[in-house]
Amino acid sequence: MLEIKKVFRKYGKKEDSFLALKNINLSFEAGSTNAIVGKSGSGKSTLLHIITGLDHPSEGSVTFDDKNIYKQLDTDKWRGENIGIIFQQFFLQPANSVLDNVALPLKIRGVSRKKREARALEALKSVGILEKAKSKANDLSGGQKQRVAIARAIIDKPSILIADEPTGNLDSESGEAIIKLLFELNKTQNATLIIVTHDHDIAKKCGRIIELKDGLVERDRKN
Amino acid sequence: MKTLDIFTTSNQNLRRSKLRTFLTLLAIAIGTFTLALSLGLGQGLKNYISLQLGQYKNVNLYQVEKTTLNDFSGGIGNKDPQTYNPNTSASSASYLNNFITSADLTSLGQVNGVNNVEIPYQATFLYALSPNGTKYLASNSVFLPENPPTLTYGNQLTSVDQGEVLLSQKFAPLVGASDSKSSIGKVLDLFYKDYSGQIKEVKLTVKGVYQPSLIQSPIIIDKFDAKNVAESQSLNNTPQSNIVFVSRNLNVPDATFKTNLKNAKFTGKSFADVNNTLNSIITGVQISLAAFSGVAILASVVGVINTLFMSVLERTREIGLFRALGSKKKTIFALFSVEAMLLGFWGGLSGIALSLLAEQAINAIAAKTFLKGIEGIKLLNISPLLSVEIILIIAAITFIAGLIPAIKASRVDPIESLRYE
Ligand SMILES: Nc1ncnc2c1ncn2[C@@H]1O[C@H](COP(=O)(O)OP(=O)(O)O)[C@@H](O)[C@H]1O
Ligand SMILES: [Mg+2]
Repeated sequence: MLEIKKVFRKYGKKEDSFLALKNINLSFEAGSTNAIVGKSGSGKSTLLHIITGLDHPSEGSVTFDDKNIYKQLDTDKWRGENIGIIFQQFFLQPANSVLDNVALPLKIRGVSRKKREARALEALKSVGILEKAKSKANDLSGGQKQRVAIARAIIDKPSILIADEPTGNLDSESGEAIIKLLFELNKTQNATLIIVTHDHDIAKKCGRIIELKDGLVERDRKN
Repeated sequence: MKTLDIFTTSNQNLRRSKLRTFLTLLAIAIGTFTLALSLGLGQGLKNYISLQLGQYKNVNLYQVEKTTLNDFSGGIGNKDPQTYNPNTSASSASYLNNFITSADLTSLGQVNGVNNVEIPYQATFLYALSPNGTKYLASNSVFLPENPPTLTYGNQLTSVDQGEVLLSQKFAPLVGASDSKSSIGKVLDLFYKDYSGQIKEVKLTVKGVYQPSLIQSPIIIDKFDAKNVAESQSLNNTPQSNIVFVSRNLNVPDATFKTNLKNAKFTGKSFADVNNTLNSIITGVQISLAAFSGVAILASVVGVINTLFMSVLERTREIGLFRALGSKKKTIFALFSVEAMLLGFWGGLSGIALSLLAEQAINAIAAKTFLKGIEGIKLLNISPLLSVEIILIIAAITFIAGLIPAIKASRVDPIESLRYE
């Protein structure tokens, strides 16, 4: 279980400092589906960065299974092993093959080439583009690229999948397919899903909707 | 990340900007090339000197002359005039007349540390007459037991031999032999003028053949015959010489021995001194040449730093991605510093390959032109060990050059670099 306790995030120095997050308290049950909604500038991305350990809160703590991810865990290692991140932009390595792109997290983790490629093929199969394994990442369509990014995020079977506007760069049809895939993966891999989205239809599909406004949790309801 | 993966990834990254990498490698290769050539030239000279001086087997042999209180170059053109002092000046303030007399030999024999004194009897021959009638010049020296030449065939002379001679490998034609080996046992027929101007003949049997070198005469005559000829060529049967060769008693240290000589108004210089002087001159030349190539390497280092900074800027997104996927800062640091090191490695390797080609070509040309006929010299000598050392040094230098860009890369903020609104 992921728990966020009394988190503040302050930007800037004393006089013109700005609180992007103000006393956030949230916990995410394992296997749950969660939407984070809110206007632009409400603090959604800042919250995701803190949850993933890429950013540090100015105050408060983030714990994973009761361990502080900054103080008690090796944050980078923990993120690699437990969090799969999907961005609005796909951030693929365009010149590399689809297989290499998907295998990258395991390469970073020091897994042997043979093992990581076998696992990458598995991941590609579960996102439905196994046949593209040998293609260059640049040659794919937007929807296919996002599938590759998802395969990369799930290759090490993370317990939490975090997606920041995953359909923002896709047409509505491929966007729907991607969302369908994410919910499938939530079930088949029992991964906690946290989606940041503007789209109310997507939010409605989640078990829980958290609405942020000016760095505060405005509403937090079960669906 | 596995070390192997870091190396292959960094190597792949080098190929992403092919032209830029190529130009950087070219600069490093040029720097390496100049370094290899200058060190190779120095090594070639050192090898040559040690090959030649290796002939001086006995480094405790001293060349001793009388100390002239007025500098002997007082007789040479570029000096100010010097006044005559009957107590200190040699008879004509000339080096040439500073002969060692029998009284000098007696006092030299009493100096503490002197083991043995050899007079370098100098016989002057008109020519050597070969069996087919050709007359050859016969430059020669007397055999010094303390400083024997390196024989290739036959036997060494001894200090009591008579009627025998050692010949340089190249001088077989003088005794009518087709090669150096078969000149052993043949007779060298020498002609000279005595003091009165009468032409005389001396026949010497070839006892051994030796490697030619710059510091040894091509003919080495036994002491008995050299003394005989030199005496018959001199006024009062007394050969005159400015120098004698003195071997040192090893119980007396070099410095003490030199002081003792100095107190007896002699100056001594050992062959080891000559060796050291020459080597330190070459080391000096080598260092200054290496310093010049250092400038070329410095320029390529600037290129490496520039290339890497550009890579870091171009790849900030990718760095952010790596971090988001669980990569540690030190992995990012390693990727970029290995890339820097690989630039040095590949550039160094190409530079060494170029310099080995140049070595072949330059040595071939030198051997046919200005070094023609000089034995045992390889103008450039870039050994495998030197090559490996240079490549490692260049890789280490580019690694150091890459430190700052690599640190910059490791400090890229993943959030900033992945921002896209
Ligand atoms: N590095 C930063 N420095 C200063 N202010 C920032 C920085 N990052 C975000 N902010 C501010 O924090 C607030 C929340 O930003 P963000 O989390 O990106 O919002 P959202 O993702 O909901 O659009 C915004 O007002 C934004 O301007
Ligand atoms: Mg945002």
